[in-house]
Amino acid sequence: MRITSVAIVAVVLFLLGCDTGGRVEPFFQNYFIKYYGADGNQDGRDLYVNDDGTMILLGNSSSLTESSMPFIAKTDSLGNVLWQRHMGGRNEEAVDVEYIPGGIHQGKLVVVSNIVNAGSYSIRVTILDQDGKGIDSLVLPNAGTQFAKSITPSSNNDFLVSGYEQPDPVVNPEPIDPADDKADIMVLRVSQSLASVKTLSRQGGEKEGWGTKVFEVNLQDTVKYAVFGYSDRPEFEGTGVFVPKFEVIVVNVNGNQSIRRTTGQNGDVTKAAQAIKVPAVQGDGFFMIGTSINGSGSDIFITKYSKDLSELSPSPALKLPEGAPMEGVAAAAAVAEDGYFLLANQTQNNSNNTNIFLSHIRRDGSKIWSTTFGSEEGNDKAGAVAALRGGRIAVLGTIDLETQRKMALIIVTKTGGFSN
Amino acid sequence: MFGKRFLVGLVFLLACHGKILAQDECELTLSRALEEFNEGHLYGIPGMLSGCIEKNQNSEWRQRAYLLLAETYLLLEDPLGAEQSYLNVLRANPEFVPDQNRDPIDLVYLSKKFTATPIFSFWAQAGPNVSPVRVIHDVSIGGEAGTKQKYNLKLGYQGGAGFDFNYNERISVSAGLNFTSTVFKHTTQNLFGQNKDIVEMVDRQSWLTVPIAIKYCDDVGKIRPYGFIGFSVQAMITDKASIKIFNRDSKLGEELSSSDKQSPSLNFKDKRQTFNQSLFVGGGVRYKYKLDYFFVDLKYSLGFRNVVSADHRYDDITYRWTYVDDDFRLDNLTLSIGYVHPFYKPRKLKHARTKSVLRKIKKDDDADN
Repeated sequence: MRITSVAIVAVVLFLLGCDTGGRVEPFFQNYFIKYYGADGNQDGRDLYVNDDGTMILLGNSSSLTESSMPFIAKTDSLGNVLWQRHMGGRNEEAVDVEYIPGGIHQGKLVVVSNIVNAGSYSIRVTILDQDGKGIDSLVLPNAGTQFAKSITPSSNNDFLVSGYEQPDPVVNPEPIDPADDKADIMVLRVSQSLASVKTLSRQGGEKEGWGTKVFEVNLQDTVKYAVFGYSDRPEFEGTGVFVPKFEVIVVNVNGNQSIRRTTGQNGDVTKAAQAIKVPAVQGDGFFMIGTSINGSGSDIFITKYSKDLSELSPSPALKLPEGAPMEGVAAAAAVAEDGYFLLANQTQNNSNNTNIFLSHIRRDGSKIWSTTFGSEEGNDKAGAVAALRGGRIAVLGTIDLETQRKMALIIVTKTGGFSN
Repeated sequence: MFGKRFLVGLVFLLACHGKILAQDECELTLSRALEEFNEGHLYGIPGMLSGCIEKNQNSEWRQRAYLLLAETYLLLEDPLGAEQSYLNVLRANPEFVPDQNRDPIDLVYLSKKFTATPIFSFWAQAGPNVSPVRVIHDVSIGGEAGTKQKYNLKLGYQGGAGFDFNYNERISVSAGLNFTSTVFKHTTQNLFGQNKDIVEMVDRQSWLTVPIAIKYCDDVGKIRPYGFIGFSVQAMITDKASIKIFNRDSKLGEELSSSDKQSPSLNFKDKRQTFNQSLFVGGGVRYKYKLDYFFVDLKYSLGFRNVVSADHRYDDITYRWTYVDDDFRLDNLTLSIGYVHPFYKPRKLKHARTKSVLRKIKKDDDADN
C-alpha cells in the first residue's frame, strides 16, 4: 500500500513536470532565423518594416542558368511569407526599398535597382503595391553609367535617387588626370508618376565618391537636400592628396551647394555605406555608418550629425575597433533602447569569409553588446538592420549555406540573442 | 608425449570413477537411513548421514537427506535440529514445498516457519528500440508556409542490468542502469518552393538511463506474465547527427541543376538538454528455466522533457546545413529479451504462516471424531 502511494505521488510529480506546449515558451516565434528564396542563390539587401509589423525583404536572385534578378518578399511580423516574387529583368540588382508616404502611389513601395548593360549601369525605379503587384517602372534615361545607392521619397512626392555616375572632369574642384576620374556624386529627382527625371545635384568627388542617401532638411525655413556619402575631395586645395572621407553636402532645390562637411580619420580611407535619419528620442539628426580603412585593417566608422548639420556628436566621429577587419554596412536607431544598432561584415581570422556582425552602441559610441551570425566556412553578408517595436531587432543578410546562398531574416532580442 | 597424455587421462578417469563410487555409496547410506527411519530406529540416523553430508553431495541428495533428518528430529522432539535440517532442505532446493497430502503434517507445519523466496533478483536485458518524436512546437527554417516537416522511426538498441527487490512473491521494485541508443529521422520538404529542396537529418543519441519500476508478476507456472510501471531519469552521453541536403532547382517540373551534399558527423550535444525524464509502462512474460527465468517484454517510455536546448537552437549547423530543431519530447518503444537470476535466501520467518496448517489439523481431527 505504501509502495502504491509512493508510486502515485511520483507519477503525479512527473506529470506536473512534463514539458508541454503551454510550459515551453515559444521563443522561436519571435526570435529566429528564417531563409527565403527560390531556385539558385538569393542575397538579402534591404529591409523595410511597415507600421503593421509586416516586413518587406529585398534581395537579388541568381543561379547557374539565370543571371541576377531582383527578388522581393513580404512577411508577417513572425517571418512567415505572405508573398514573394522575382521582379525586374536579368542582369539587374535591387539595392533599396522604401515606403511611399504620399502622392498618387501612397502606401505602395518603391524599389531602385541597377541594370548592368555591356559594362555600364542604368537605374530602374519600380513601384509595387503591398501585395507585390508591379504598378509601374522606369529605366532612367542616361548617356553613360548611372548607379543608384538608394531612393528617398521627398515631401513633394518625388523620388530622390542618390549614387554615382560617369565622371565629368569639369565638375571636379581641382583638375586631375581624366584617367583617374572614376565617378561623380549624383542625386536625381524622379517624379512619382515616373514621367520626369532631373539631375538635382552633381558633385565632382575628384576621383571617386558616391551619395549613399539623400534626406530633405529644413534649414532656416527653406527646404534643402542633404546628400550623405563620401568623396576623396582634398581637404586642402592644391595638395594633390586625395583621401576618401565621409561627406555631407547640402544643396538647395536648384542643386546649389550651401554646406559641405567632411569627416574621417587622419591617414585612413573612409567610405560611406548608409545614412539614416535619427528620431527625436535618440537626439534627432542624421547618423552615417561606413568603413575606415588603414592598410590591411578596417574598422566600422560612424558619424552623427545634428538636425541642422551644424555639429557632430560624438565629435568629430568614431572608429570602432573590434579586433577583426570590419566593413560597416547598415545602421538603425534603437526604438526601445538607447543608441544605435550597427551592422557590419566581419572578416574571419582564418579566411576571407565574413560573418554578419551586429552591435548595439550608446549614443556616445560606447559598445553595449555585439554578436555575430554565420559560420566559419561560409561567406555570410550583412544587408540591413531595423529596430522593431517591443525591442526586437531584425537583420536581413545572406547566409552562405552548404549548397546555396539564401536571403536570411534574423530576428533577435534586444540583447542580440534568440531566447530570453 | 603420448605417455604424459595417457597418464593425465588415466588420473581423470580414476577421479571420476572415485566420485561415482562415493555417490553410489552415499545413495546406499541414504537408503539404509530411510530403512532405519521406517523401522523406528531414529537415533542413529544423523550419525549415519553425517559422513556423506560432509562430502558435499549433489543438491537432490542433500534435499532428500535433510528432509529425512528434519522428520527424524521432529520425531525425536528436537525442534532446533529439525529447523536447522529444514533450512538445509531449502538451501538444497529453494523452491521445495512440502505436499500436505504426502508429507507428515508436522513437517508441513515446520515448513510454514520458513521461506526461501529471493529478496533480490538480478536481471540483464538487451534489444531493439524505436523512438517516436512528439513535437511540442514546430519550428521551420523556411519562411514559406508550404515547407513541410516530418519524423520517421529508425531502429536503435539498448542493453542494461539491474536488481529487483521482491516485496513478496508477486510484487517487486526494480532499479537498473541501461545504455540506450536512440535514432530518428527528420525530413524538411518543399523548402524554397513546392517539390524543391529536401533536408534529411538522422539524429543518434546515446543515453545512460536509470529506470525505477514497480512490477507485478504471476508466481506460478512455467510461463509467468508480468506488468510494470515506473519512471526513469536519462543522461545524454552523445548526440551525433548527419544531414543530407537535396538542393533541387527545377522549372516546370524539369530539373535544371542539383547539388546534393552529405554532412560529416555533426555534434548535436550542445543543442540538447543533458537530462531527461520518462514515465514508462510495459509488460511481458517470464519463462522459468530451472531456478532462473528468461523474459521478453515490451516497454513504452513517454519522454517528459523538451530535448532541445532553446539557447543553442541556432548555431553553425543552421548556418551551413539548413537545419533547425523543433521543440520535441522523445518517446521510446523497447523490445527487451533478458534473463533473471533470483538470489534465493532460505530463512526463518519472523511471523510463521501456520494458521492454514492448524486449520487443516483441526479439520482432520473433527473428521476423525
